[in-house]
Amino acid sequence: MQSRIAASLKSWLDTDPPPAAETGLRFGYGPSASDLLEDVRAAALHPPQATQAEARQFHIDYNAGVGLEPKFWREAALDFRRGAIRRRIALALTSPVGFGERVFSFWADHFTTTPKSYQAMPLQVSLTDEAIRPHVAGRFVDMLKAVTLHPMMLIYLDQNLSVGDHSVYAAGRTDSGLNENLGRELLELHTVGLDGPYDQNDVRETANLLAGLIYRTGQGTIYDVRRAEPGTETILGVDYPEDSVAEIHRLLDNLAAHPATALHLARKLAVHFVADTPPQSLIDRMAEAYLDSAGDLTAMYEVLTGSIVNRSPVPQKLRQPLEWIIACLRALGVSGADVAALPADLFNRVIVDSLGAMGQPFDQCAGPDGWPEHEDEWLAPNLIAARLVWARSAPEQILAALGRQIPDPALLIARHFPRPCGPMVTWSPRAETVQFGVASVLCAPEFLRR
Amino acid sequence: MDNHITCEGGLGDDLVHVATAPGEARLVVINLRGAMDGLDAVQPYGDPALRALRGPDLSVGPEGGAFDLDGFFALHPALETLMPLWRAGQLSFIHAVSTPYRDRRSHFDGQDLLATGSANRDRPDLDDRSGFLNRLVACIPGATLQLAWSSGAMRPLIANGPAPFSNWSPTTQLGLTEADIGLLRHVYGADSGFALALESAVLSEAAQGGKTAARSDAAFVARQLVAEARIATFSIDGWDTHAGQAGIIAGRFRQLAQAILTLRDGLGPVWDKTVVVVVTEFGRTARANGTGGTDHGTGGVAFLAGGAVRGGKVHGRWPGLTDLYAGRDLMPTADVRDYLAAICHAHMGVPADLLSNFVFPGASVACGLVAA
Repeated sequence: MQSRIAASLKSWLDTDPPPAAETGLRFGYGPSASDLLEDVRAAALHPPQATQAEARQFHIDYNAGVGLEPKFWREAALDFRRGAIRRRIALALTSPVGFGERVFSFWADHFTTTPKSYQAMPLQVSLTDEAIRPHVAGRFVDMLKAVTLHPMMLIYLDQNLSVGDHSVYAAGRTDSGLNENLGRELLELHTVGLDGPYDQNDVRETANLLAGLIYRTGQGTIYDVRRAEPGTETILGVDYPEDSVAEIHRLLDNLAAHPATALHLARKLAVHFVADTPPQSLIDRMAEAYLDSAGDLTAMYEVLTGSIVNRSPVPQKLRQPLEWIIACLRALGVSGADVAALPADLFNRVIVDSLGAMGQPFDQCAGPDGWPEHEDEWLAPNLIAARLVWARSAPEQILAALGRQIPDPALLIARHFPRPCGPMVTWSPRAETVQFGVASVLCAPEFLRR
Repeated sequence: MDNHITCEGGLGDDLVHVATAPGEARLVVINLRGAMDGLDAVQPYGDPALRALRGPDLSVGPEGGAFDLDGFFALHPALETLMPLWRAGQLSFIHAVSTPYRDRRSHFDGQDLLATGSANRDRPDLDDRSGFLNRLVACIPGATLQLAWSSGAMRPLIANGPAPFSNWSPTTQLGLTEADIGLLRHVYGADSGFALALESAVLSEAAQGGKTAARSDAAFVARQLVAEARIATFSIDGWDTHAGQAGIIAGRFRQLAQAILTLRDGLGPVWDKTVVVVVTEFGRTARANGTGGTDHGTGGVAFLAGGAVRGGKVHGRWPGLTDLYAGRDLMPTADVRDYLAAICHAHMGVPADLLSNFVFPGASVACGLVAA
């Protein structure tokens, strides 16, 4: 298992890492809007770390307990997650700009799932790599369909347990019935959003229409018509008389094309990439571009990246822990190939465990609404303390494992900030130790925000 | 003692004793995130409609090992360790209550509304993201607010706002030298968000301890309340029991009971001056769903514990289980904020007009309590 992940990692990283974007700013003409879109298109092409077929086979083998002690199976499951973190970071370090990888992380967060069992961990990797990544530069509706029908989502939001109350399957049984979870979050979180024009009845009807969708380890996602709720469902004013997967596709088409979905997605993108409170005019223009292009995500990115608001020299957004760690590693000159080569115990301790201490355990968000965006949520003293602890010790440990020295803080400032400013420039080089000098740069407001 | 406590009409129940000198009263708010099922915690087994709604596994009442409270309600078996508090008159419940939140049944919205203590999402104080505990602290001269959230790891909205607060999750060893701290103070300079976080982290580092999240939060909070803090809050997560509720919720209840008893033990003599309020964003459906769980609902239950509580009673007006809200949820018969306001008034001595206008906008401060 380990070696397979390591081998596939290596194949993505065969080429040397390209120069950092900061170098492009200084020695080239700076990135253009089309470079950024190209970056997203390139990100969409990376092959999956685990396919759904492999993940399902893992699920079957795990349950059967073939050949391994239970604790070894658990370790094998955790290796998928550790592999996914390593790969997320390695690709982000290899990418010339990194916008595509950040867009991928954004959509993975929009469709947050958390495995409830070890067996399902590879399925989560399959969801992000097969249902989300190929669509990051495509149409939202394709991503929405792939995610909604993916086994991981059916498990996570209890769809696997849901049965129409008046279905053939439920007749004569007292232990089965409807579960609203996926129906609710499909509306509230994934499409029209909390401010969208739906009510409790729409939630119920959506759950009724989805009843019948189920994941079976042997078959993947199937539609079991015996579990379907009979009758016509009415959702946001549209009737869905049939009980079929095609009818569910029609619902997802309609939800993706809804103006409230356009606004919801535009707002979330703007809040994530621009500012906690982005200008409404930007959101409106992004939503318009989405609707005009029949839901093309790149049309929204084009408005987003071309916006005048991005020219503000003042950093607007606090980097969340994973994004911050990646930015730190880039600034320290760590490449994707370096990350692939780090020993497992060091990687697990310095990266995997540290993300948890900083409040963002990888792919283990507490709820289906994803990580919070508002800066206040990440400014808790314990979370900032965890970053300080990391910045003071992790760079030295990682660089030592790669046979390198920790850089001079002044050099780090010069490399990362084309036009350095702020008290950091004066104070960080005066630190008692080079380790703390580096820590004070990485934890400076100018670096914690972007 | 200055009789600033004015109670007219209202709830008809005395929620707390008035025996605490100003500035000595302690308040702890435990927030159960995920929507705790009130009909399973405090089971209305005397209601003839309960059995048909709940199936064989949920809210079974005394026959299933629940502890009879008053001949109508029974306490979930996994809350057994709280029964001595009930018998000692240090535990009560408020049933069929909710925040003013209705119909959308979103955890995140519901939690925001509970945390801000406001009546609807459109209020400007929600935009400011100020929590009711922070506004409450601002009403009590010299008071500070203590947070602990090793379970949630996020700075909670309930405490957010301009009044000073101190917070720390006892998990990270900072280990900075004086020189390191001095340097960081320079680097953070005028950036108040980072500077405040740094100072809180540095100042609170001495406070360490704890094992499981809820118990360590409770132990930490108790130490702070014995010292200078007067108001504290923490969360216990994991109440969203859509499937297999019977097994999951028993573990959650044991953790909640353990947290309350840890508070009692840690507070020692101060327990007599303490009210612990346990709240959740909304209740769950009256009818069990097809997967042995319950879905998002409306009316639910709140707990009051502490030596200052006039306990041994289930408060609230019971609506019955035949008239359900929207045909599915326990009908809320009172705003839980009215009770929170009554406690802040009678126990913490905050004037009624400040409570109904500032801390809980639109709530009525009504209690049957007449000050001695």
